[in-house]
Amino acid sequence: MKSILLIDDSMTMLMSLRQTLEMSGFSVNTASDGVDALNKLKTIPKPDLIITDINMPNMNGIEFIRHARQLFRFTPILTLTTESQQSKREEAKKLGATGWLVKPVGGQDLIRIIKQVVPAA
Amino acid sequence: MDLKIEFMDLLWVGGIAALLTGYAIHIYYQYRLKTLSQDSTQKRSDMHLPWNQLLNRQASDVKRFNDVLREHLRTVNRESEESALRVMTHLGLAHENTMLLMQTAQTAVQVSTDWIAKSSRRMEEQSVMLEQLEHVMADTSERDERERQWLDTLTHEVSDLLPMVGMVEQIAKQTNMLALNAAIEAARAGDAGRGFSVVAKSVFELSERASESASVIRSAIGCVSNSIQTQTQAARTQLDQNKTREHIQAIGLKVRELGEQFGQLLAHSQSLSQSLELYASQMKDAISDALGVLQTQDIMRQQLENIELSLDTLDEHIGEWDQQLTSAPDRPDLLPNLGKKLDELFSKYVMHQQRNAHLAAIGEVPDETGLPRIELF
Repeated sequence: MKSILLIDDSMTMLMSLRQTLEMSGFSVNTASDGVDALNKLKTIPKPDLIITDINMPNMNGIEFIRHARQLFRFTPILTLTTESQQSKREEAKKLGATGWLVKPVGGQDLIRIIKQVVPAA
Repeated sequence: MDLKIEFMDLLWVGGIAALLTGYAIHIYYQYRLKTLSQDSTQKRSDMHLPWNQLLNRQASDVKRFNDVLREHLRTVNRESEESALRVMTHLGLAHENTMLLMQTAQTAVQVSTDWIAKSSRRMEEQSVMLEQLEHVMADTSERDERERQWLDTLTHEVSDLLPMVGMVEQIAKQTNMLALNAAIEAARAGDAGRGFSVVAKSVFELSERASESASVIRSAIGCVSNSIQTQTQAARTQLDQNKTREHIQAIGLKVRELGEQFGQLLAHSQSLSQSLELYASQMKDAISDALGVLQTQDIMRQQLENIELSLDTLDEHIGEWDQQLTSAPDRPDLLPNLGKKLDELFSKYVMHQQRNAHLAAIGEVPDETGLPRIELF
């Protein structure tokens, strides 16, 4: 079973994404911001995919991607955010993000994208 | 006299009315004077306040006003989040119940499919066995038919023998009579008839043996005839077996028909199983999409938080005006510009729709081109 780490400061987002992904057979862990996510990554098995918001307290998504890429060079990292500034998008891409998704993303679309970026999902 | 009295009455009434009216007017004016006095007292009181203190009071009132708006925004945010979470809980339950229903239905369909498949196989096996039995019975029937025909032929031939036996017996009887007559004549002939007497005796013996043989043959024919009858009776029972064969054929036909019906039922059961799988998949997709729509609550939360920040900006602006007018009232050029703060607000937007709403509100053309919503690098 493939595992996914979700990072978002919104409980609504975490719950809705968790349910969508678990219905499709994924194992899901969650974190509320970048700092929480880095702490979680020390204790959980390496995820097959990370989905992160950008605008979060304590540590935003851009900073998290910078740190995460030092830990996992090849794990796909998708951003799922309301952020629409081109500069932030470019920065995330430069730091190693795999894709940029703008909220809201429908459940079927999300699963389709995950299957594209995670081998054998 | 009467006219004078009436005129005096009128004078009295008019006088009293005038006095009362005057008193009423007096009371009214007293009241008005009192009210106007209070207003002017208040205004004189305000006018005595420095205008910066007036501004300070207004700034404080604006802040209170904004606090009320902020609280309304937080309430909307909180309640919408709670509603979204409740909806998600219900969607989760709907999915669980659907999965449970699907599993139960799939199990039932699987059990019935297995049973139908087994029954269908048994029908086929029984159909094959019945066919084999039919073939065996057909062979037996043909052989029995041939045997019966042979027995019929034999019966006729044996029957044809009896008249011949009768003829031999008749001949033997007549020969016996002849021999007896010859013996008598031989006796009458004396010595000359002695030789003839011997012949007559031989003929007599011959006829006796013929008669005995005929009797034996008749007896044998009777045995054969009985035996044939027995076999014929046995052959007749084959007719019942033919009927049994017909029954078995009819049963075989029914079994094959039943097998075909089981085959159709099996196909229908498999089709039902596929439909259930498809329905479960569609339900899952519908719930996934509904959960996706609930993401709009997060978008709304961010927009409301942005409005709260805007109210904070407004409070700050009023406070800066208050401070500036208090410290340097003769320097209006130093008063902060709310227009600049509006530009700062625009620069902090994260969402495309926020920028467009801002532009539309200030009478500018929104930017219809947006970046792709989904992009893989």
